[in-house]
Amino acid sequence: MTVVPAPTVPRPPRGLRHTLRQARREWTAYLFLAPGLILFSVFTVFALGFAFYLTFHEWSIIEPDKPFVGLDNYKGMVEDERFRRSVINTVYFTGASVPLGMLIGLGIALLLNQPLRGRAILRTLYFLPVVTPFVVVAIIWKWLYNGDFGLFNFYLLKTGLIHEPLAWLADKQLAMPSIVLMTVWTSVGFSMVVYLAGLQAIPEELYEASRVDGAGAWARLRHITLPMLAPTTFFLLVIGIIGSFQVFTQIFVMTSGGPVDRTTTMMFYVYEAAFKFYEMGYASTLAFTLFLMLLVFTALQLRLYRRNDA
Amino acid sequence: MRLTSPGRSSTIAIDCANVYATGLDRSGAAAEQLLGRRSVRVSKLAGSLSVIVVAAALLGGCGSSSDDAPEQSAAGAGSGPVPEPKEPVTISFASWVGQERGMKALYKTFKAEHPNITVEFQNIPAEEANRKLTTQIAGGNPPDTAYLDSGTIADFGSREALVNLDAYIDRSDLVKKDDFVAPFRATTEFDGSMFALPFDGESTALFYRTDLFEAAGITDPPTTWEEFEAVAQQLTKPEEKQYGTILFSPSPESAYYWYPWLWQAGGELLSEDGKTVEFNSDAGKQAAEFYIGLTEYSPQDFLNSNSYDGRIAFARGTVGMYVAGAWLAGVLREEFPKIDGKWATAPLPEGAAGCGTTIAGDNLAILAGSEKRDAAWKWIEFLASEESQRAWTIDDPFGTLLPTRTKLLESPELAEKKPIMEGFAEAMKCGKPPVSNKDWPKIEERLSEQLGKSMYGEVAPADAIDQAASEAQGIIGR
Repeated sequence: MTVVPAPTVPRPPRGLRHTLRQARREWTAYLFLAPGLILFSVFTVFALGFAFYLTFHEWSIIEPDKPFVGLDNYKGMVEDERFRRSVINTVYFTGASVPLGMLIGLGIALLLNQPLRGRAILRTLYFLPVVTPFVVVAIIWKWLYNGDFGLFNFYLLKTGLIHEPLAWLADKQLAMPSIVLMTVWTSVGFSMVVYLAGLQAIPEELYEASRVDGAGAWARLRHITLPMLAPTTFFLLVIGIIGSFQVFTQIFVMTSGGPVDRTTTMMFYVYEAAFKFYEMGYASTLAFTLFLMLLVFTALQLRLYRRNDA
Repeated sequence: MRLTSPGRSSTIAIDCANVYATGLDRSGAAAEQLLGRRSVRVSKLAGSLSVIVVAAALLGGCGSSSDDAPEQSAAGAGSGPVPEPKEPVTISFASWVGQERGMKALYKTFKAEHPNITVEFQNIPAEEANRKLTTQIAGGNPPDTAYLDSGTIADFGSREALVNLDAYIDRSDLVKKDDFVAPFRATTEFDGSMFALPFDGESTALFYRTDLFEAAGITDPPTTWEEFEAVAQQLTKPEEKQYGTILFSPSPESAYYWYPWLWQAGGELLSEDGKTVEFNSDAGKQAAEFYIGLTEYSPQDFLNSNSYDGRIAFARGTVGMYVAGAWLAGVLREEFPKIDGKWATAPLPEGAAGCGTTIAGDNLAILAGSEKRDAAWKWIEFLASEESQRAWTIDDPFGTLLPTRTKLLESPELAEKKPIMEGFAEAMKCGKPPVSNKDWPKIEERLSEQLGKSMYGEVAPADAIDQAASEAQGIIGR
C-alpha cells in the first residue's frame, strides 16, 4: 500500500498526473462504480459508437460483412419519401398529444387539489392508466375503435352523434387522432401527478396575500399558479416531447404504421428498417437522426427556458 | 460478440422490439427520480439516454456477427446413405408446428427408428418465425433445422444461412429431387441448388359463405372475373354490415393477393432471368384495375388489417367471399365450428389467360451454423419422406395442407379423404410460387405500398403499378 501524504495546502490540479493520483486514492469508489460503469460502457457507449459506425455501412445482420457505403445512408434518407412522411407524422403526434395531455392533466390536478371527498381514490383512478401495461391498453383500445363492434361506434351511433360507423384506425384521416386520443388517456395521469406535486409546492402565503389584495380565482390562477408551475410545465414538456418522438408501442400494436403510412412514426420506421428490411446501417442512420433532432430540440427549449427564467 | 446464450435466445426477438417501447418509460423514470428544479439537466440526459437505449438495442442485444459458420461447401460430402450417429445427438428444430399432434406422432416414429437422435422443438409463432431466426443466425446461435415459409428460402439461401442440400439428396434413398411437384420444388431452389425440402404446401383459392349465397339467390361460385364482381356487388349491403369480399392494404398482403389476378390476366412478375420487371404490362394494369376496384365491395374497417385477423369477418358473415390459402380452412374448422356447413371452397375465377393462383408452402432446411448436419439431415429427410408426408397431410384428420410430392398430390386418396381440399389440389396445376429472388422481398414491399395507396384512392391503379415497377427496377439494378 502506498502512504498517502497529508495534503498541506490545496493546490490547483495538475492535469493527468493529478487525476491518476486522485483515482488511486479513491480506488474503492471506482470499484463500487465499476459494475455500472462496465455495463454502461459495453451496452451503451460501445453500442452507440457501433451504431455510428454502422451509419456509414451496409449490414443485413445475417451476413458478417459490412461494406462501407460512405454517406449513402444519409443521402438515401434525405431522398426517402417515407422518412419525410414519418417525420411529419411524428411531429403531428407530438404536437397533438403532448399539449393535450398536459392541459387535461393540469385541469384534473387543479380539481383534485381541492379538498374533495374521495380525493385519494380519484387520484389513484386517474393514475391507473399510467401503470397499466401499455400493450394491454393498446389492444383494448384497438377493440374499442373497431368499426363494426367497437364500443365507441356503438355509443356514438346510439346517441345519434354520428350516423355512419367510423372506421377509426382504418381511416386515413382518423387513424392518427385515434392514436393521439388513446395516448392522451394514458399520459394524463402522469401529468396530473407531476402537476399536483408542483401545486403543493406553491406557498400558501402567496394565495393569502393575493386574497387580501382582492384577487379573484381567475387572477390567482393566472398570476400565481401558472407562473409558479412554469418549471413543472417545462419538465413535462421536455419529457413529453422526448417520449412522444419515440412513440412506438401503440403504433406497433394498433395500426402497424397504416393506413398507407399515415401513422408510421420515426421510431416505427427505424424498427421497420431494422427488423423488417434488415437494413441495420440505414436503421442506425435513422436512429441517429432522431437523436440529433431531440438534442437540438432540447437544447432549444433549455435556452428558451433560461431566458425566461432570467 | 455473442450476447445470446442458448437459453435466452428465444426471447431476443421480442426483447428488441420491447426496448423501443420501454425507451420512453426509462427516460421518464430516470427523470422522475430527480424531479425538481434541476430536472432540466436531468431530462436532457434522459433524452439522450433513451435514444442510446434504442441504439444499444439495435446493436448490442439484437445483432452480433456470425463469424463461426462452418464452410458451406463441405455439407454432406461423401457417398452412400448418411450414417447413423454412434453417440447420442441432440438437434433443434425451429417451427410453429412442434406442438401439433401430427408432429408429435411423427417424432415418435422417428425416435423409434433413430434412437440416437433427439430432437428439441423450438416453438415460435409463425409471424415471429422469420425475425426470430434472423436474430438467431445473427447471434451465431441458429437452430440445427427449421420449418421455413417458402418465401424466405431464397433470401436465407442467398445469404449463406442455409446448407446446400444437393449432396445429401444425391445420397438419399428417401428423397429425390423429382419426387416433388415442380412449383413447390422451385420455392426451395436458389442458383439451381435445393436449400430446403418441400414439406407441405397450399394454394390460394376462394372461400365463400354458402348461406349468404343462398340468401342472395346465387347458386354457384363465380368462375370468371365478371361473375366475381357481379356476386361481390350483389352481396354488398353496407347497411346490414355485409360485404362481397375483403381486401387488405398493408404489406405484403396487398401484393400477395394481387398475384393470382395478375397471372389470370396473363401477366408475369419478373422476366425469367429475374432482371426485368414485367408486372407493369397491360395485363398487370388490368389486373390492378380489377383488384383495386374490389375495394368498393370490401369492409373499410378491415382495410388496414390482414388476412388472419380478417377471418373474423368471414366467420361472422360480414364478408361473403374470401380469397385465401388453404390454411384458412383449418382455422375455420378449429376456431369457428359453428359455421361448419355454411361455407365452401372453390378454385379462383379464371381471367383472360385462364386459371392462375399463388402457391406457398413450408420447407425443411438445415441452418449453415449447425454443427450436427448429418443428424439434422436424418431428421428432415425423415419428415420429407413419402410416408411422413402422407401422415402429415392426407392422413391428418383436421389438416388442410397439401402434400408436396407429386405422387401424393395426384393420388385419389387425397380427394377421398379431404373433399374440402379438392379445389386446392385442383388449383395446383395453375399454381405459381412467388418469385424466388433475394431482391423480391424489397420489391414486394414497394408493390404492396403502391397497391395499398391505390386502395385508399391516393393513386390510380395503373399509376401505382408503374411507380412500383420503376422502383423495383431500381432495386434490381442496385
